[in-house]
Amino acid sequence: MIQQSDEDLVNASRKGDRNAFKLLVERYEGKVAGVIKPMLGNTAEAVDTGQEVFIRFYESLDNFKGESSLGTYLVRIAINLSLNEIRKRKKRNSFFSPEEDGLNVNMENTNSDLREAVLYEVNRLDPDFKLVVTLRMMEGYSTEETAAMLNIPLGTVLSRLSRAQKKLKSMLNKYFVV
Amino acid sequence: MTSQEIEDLLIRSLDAPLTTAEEALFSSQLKENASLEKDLSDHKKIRELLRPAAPASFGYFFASKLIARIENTGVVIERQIFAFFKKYQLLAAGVIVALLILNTVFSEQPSMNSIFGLENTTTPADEIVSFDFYKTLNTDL
Repeated sequence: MIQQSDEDLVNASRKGDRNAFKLLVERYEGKVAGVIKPMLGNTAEAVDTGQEVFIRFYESLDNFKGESSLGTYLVRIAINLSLNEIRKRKKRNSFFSPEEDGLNVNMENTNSDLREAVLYEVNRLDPDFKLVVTLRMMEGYSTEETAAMLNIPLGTVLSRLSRAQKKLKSMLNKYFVV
Repeated sequence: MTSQEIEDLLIRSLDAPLTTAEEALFSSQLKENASLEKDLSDHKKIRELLRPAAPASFGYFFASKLIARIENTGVVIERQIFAFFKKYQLLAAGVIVALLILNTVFSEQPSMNSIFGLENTTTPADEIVSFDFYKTLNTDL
């Protein structure tokens, strides 16, 4: 079966084909979740933000010109909405426990679960650092793609990655010898 | 080269291609310094651990729930209205201009207010003829 191109599905969605839009959602859910979940944790807010990304896209279907790929376009919306959500959290003056952030880290078991510990430490990074770590290290975008998505210079991406990597290593050293 | 510079080079090697000179320098440092190799492997391990084991997802039926939300919250209607007006925006602009012209043509004294239909249509105060009801009543009697 030939897979329909994004362009065909976007055009069909513009004409009101709900199934075409659903196919687009299914196609890009992973990319969007890959950015939002590390930023907001495995929370209901993350799912709401994910829905909001696609609703924004649906509302602006006519404005989508295809200048960047659909994946990049959606990831950019996801980045902006995640940062907004983090700002809202800060305004609410909430201090999230690890459970609320969705990492479900049990400090007693940290030594036995390296991945959980790394994710826990990533979650404690500043949003700007967390974003580059998410895009580059977790989602595997190139440094150039990361810079383009965040609209920052390549040098800034490299320096943030370097600082984040150093922070992660030093933070992790207190739990175990990596 | 300071240890800080070596560490910077090490981390940068994970994200960006090094120049030939940097590559040569880094290789020689790796050979000389055993702890540097350990550092490199630690950094690589952190990256390895960060790579998701499975593709991220928002859970079961995310797309279906989203479509239901779109259908139930009027997003569809809003989009259709927007699309409709976008389609006919030239016509709508033409109608607005025509209305403004009509206002100008039919107004008694063309002014900005009359063009935009903001003219005060009530009778000006100096044109109001005062009428004293009791006085008129007494006169008639």
